[in-house]
Amino acid sequence: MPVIENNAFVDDAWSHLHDGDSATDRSMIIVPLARLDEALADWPADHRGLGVDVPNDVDVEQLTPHLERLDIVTLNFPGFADGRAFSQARSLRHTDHFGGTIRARGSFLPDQYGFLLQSGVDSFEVSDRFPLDEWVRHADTVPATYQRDYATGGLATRPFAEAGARPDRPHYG
Amino acid sequence: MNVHVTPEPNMYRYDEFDRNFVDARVAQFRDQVARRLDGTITEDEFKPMRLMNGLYHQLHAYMLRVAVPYGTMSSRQLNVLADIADKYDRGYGHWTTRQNIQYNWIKLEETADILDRLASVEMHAIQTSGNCIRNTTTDAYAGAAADELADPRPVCELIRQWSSLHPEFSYLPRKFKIAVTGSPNDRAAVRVHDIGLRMHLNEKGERGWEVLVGGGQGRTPMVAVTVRDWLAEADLLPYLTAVMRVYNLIGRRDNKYKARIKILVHEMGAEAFSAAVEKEFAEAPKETIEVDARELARITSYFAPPAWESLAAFVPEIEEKKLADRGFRQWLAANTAAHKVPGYTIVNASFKPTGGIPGDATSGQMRAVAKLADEYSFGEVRVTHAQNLTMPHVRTKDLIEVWDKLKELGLAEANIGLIGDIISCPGLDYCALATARSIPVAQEISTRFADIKKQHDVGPLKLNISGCINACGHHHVGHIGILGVDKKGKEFYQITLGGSSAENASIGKILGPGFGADDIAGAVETVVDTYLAVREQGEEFLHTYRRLGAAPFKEALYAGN
Repeated sequence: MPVIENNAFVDDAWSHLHDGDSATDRSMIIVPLARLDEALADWPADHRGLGVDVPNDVDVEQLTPHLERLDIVTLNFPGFADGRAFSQARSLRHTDHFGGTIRARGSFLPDQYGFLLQSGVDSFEVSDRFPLDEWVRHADTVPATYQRDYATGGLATRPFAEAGARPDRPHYG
Repeated sequence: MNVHVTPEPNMYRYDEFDRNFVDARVAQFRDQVARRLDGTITEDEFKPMRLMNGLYHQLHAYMLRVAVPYGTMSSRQLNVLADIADKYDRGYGHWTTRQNIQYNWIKLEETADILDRLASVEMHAIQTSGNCIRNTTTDAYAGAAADELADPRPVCELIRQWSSLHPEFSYLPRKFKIAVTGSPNDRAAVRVHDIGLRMHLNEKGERGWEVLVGGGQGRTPMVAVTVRDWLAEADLLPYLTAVMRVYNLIGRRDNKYKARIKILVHEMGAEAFSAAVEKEFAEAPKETIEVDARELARITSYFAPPAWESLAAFVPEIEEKKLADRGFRQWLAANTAAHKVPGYTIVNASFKPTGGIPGDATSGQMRAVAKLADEYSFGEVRVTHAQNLTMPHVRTKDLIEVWDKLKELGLAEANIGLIGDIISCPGLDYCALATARSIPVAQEISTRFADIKKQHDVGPLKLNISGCINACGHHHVGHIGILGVDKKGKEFYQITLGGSSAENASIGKILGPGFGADDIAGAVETVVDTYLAVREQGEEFLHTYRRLGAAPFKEALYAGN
C-alpha cells in the first residue's frame, strides 16, 4: 500500500510479520503487539528496525518500557469514525515522548489528515482511492488551531495575549 | 425612549485569528459539500462531516443548528438570524434546549452560503451536532444574576476555543455536552450533562470548579457524579483533556446507545473512572495547555459589565402598577428575575404562547426582540435552556414599557417556569427519530392551562415533552415528563413525575401505563389537580411529589381501571 510521509509518497521499507513467520534475524519488520515480547526477547538490545502494530483498544502505556527499542508504532482505524487512535498517537508523542514513526493504517479519510498530523501521526498507509494532492491539501484546509501545543507545520495559533490587550475595557471577574 | 444607535454588548469578539478560523471552516465545509455532490465521498463519509457542522437530515428537509455560544448574542446577530429565517427557511426558527437555534427547512446547496452569512457576524454551526464536543451551555442569566458568584462566560468561551476542531477529540464514541454554572442555583442543568462544571470560591476568594461527569438523558438517564470537588481554574483545560482522553480511549463503541460517557462512568464505577482520569491528569504533560492567565484575562475583558447606571432599586411607579394591575404583577413574578445591580431586572420574553409551538420564533419576533434589546438591554440577548429569550439588563423603571411592547409582540405570556412554559422537542412533525408527535401535545396542554391565574396558583412546575426515548425534550427531568412512544402504530404517552435538572437533580419515575393522544392532556390536568388537592401551603409540585411519592397521583389516574 502507498505510504505518505512529509506530504509525499515514500518507498515503504517496513513489512508486517505474518503468522508463522519468525521475527528472528529480520529487520524493518512490524510485529503484532501479541508477538512483541517474543521479538524483543529474540533481538539483541541494540538491534534496530523493529516496529509494533497496535490494535486501537489497547492502552499504549504497555508499550512505554519498550519504546526506546521501537522505531515505528502503527495505529489502526477499523472505521474512520472510530477515533481512538488519535488519543493513542497523542499519548505516545506527548506523554511518552516517543520519537519514532507513528503510522496510521485503515480506513481514515483525507479530511482527517490534518488532525492526525496534529495528534502526532507522521506516516500514513493509504489506499489508492485518493490522489496524493487530496491528502496533502487537507493538512491545512483549516490553517489555524486553538490547540496551541497540537499545532504542526505552518498552522497558525493565536499569539499570546499582551497585557492590556483591550485597554478600553476594564478587567472583570 | 429613543435610541438610534445599535449598542455593542460586552461579549466575546472575534480577533483576526478567530475570524480566519471560522472562515476556513466554512470554506472547508463548502468543499466537503461539493465533494459529496460530485460523488468523491460517500453519504456515509459525508454524514459525520455535515453533522459536525450542525446539518441534519430530517423527515422533510435538512435542518441546520446554529451555535449561540453559551446562549449569548447581540441584537446584530439576532437580526441576522431573522434574515436567515426569511431567506433560507420559512420565516422562522426554533430555540433549542441547548441555547442554540435551528432551522427546519434548509437546502444542502445553500448551507455554505448561510454559514458565510453567519460568519459575517461572528457566528457558526461548528460542533452543534456529531460525535464531538458540542456547544458549551451556561446560565442564561450569566453576568446579570443576583445569585451568581461570577460570570461563567469567560470560562465557557475558553472551553469553546479549546474544544473547537479539537484534533484529538473530534471522533468520539458519541456526542459530548458540557454545561457550566457560576451560580449555586443551577439554571444550566449541569448534573444532566456529560461534564458539568460548578464554580466555587475558596476562603481566599479564588475561583475553582467542581467537576461532575456522567450525567445525561436519552435512553438511560443518569445524574452526574462529582469526580472533583475543587479544581483550580488553571487546571481546567488539562483536566478536561484528561476526561476526554479516557473517554475517547475506553468509552464503548460497540453500541451507540451505550456509548455516552455516563455508561462508562456507570460501568466502571465513579471511583475507578475518577482514578483513571486523575492518573491521566497526573501523567500527561500539561505545562503547555494550562490555562494561560493572560489568555483568560484577555477573554474576560470582553465580558466587562455594561455601563450600568446608578439607579434606585425601588421604583414607586412599578410598585403602584403591581398593586393596580394583576397582569403586570403576574408577569413580573414569573417572567423577570433579580439582577445583581440595583435598579436593573432580568426580563424573559416567553416563546410559549397559549396553544403555540414551544420555542418557535418568527423572523418578525426576532427583529422586534433585537430592537427591544437595543433600546432596553445594551443590545444583548440570551437564549435560555427552556427555549425562551432573555434581555439580561433592563432598567427596572423601564419595565412597564418593556412589558407593553412584549405584549404587543405576543411575548409576554406570564408563564416562565410555570406549566405553560413547556419544553418540547420537535417530535414526529419534523424529526426522523421521533416515534410520536410532541408539538400537538404541548399545544393542547398549554391550551388547557391557558388561564394564567391558574398557572400562578399551581406555581413552579416544569413540564417537558419528548417524542421518543432519545429525550431531546428532557422529559426525564421535567417535574412532569411526557414521553411519546409508538405502540402498534398508535401514539402513546407515558407520564413521569419527580424529575429535576436543578441543583437537586433527579430523574423522573414512570407513573404507570401510558395514555392515548386524546387522553394525555386530561391526564396531566388530573395530576395537577391532585397536587392542588394534597399540597401543603406554599409547597411546590416537586416538593409535594417528593413528600408523598407517586401514590396519590396513581390513585387519581388509575383507580377504577
